[in-house]
Amino acid sequence: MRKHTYLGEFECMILLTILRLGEEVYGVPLARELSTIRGADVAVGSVYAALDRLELKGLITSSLGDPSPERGGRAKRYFRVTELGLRSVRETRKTLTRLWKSLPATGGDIA
Amino acid sequence: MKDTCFVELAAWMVEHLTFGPTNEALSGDLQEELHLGRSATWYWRQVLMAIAIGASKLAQALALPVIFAAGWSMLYPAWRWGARDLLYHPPAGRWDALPWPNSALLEVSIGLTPALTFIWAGYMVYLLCRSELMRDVHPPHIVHGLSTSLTVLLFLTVGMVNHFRHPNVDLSSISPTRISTPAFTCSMSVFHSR
Repeated sequence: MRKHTYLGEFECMILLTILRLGEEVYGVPLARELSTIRGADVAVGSVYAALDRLELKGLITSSLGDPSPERGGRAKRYFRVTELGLRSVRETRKTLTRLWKSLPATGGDIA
Repeated sequence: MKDTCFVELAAWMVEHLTFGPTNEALSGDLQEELHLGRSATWYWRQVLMAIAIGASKLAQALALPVIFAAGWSMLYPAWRWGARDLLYHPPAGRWDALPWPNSALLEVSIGLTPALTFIWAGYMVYLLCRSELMRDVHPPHIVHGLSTSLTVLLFLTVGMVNHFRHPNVDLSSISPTRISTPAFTCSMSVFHSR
């Protein structure tokens, strides 16, 4: 049985954002979307560091696009969530939901 | 012109100082953002942050191997002592009788063998301790790792010889058998063979 890969908060956000943006996701729209969702500027370098980690874990794959002049002749790298990545997101959601539901009633609305 | 220069400099920094497989894409993304209207300050901040993140990632990745290597090196005297009968006593006078360069090659190989086997053993122990790395190990990685360690060993040895060199000491007059460090012996061999 394969060991379950737990997702960090930022990693989970990146996976969900890639899923939300659909096909042909690369660094610029990903960082912009994350900035919008979080309400704060996101360092593109930290997005790429997390993307490298996720690719190493096999949760996403990437492919190179064509170079373009506004990018100084550098190619875009497109990211896609793998089956394992999808399973990992679902597992994380289930675990968090279970934890959330198991919280004792505190009189307030913690949820 | 000035703008092009600073963009190229920043791109070069990202591509050479972030140590990641995706650094070219990152550099392109930053340039695209700049092209879409981001300020130069934003661009440089992102470049410096990307370099800092890359350096921190590299330090985290290297910390464990470096600590292990430092700890493993402490065992070298014990290894040398344990292997003294097997590795350090070539038949007396045998290599002096051989013509150059065979004598020098023999001397170098006898000097290097204990150190190399020690490095090999350390590498294997490290891989066994971190079994999750085993699936990513390929022959080119092993050759690259070992050739790097051999180069470091040689540089350290030559550095050590230079550090301890004294104007009144003739290095070529020191017999390798009287020097206890095998790596030092190897470097003596280099000096002898000149």
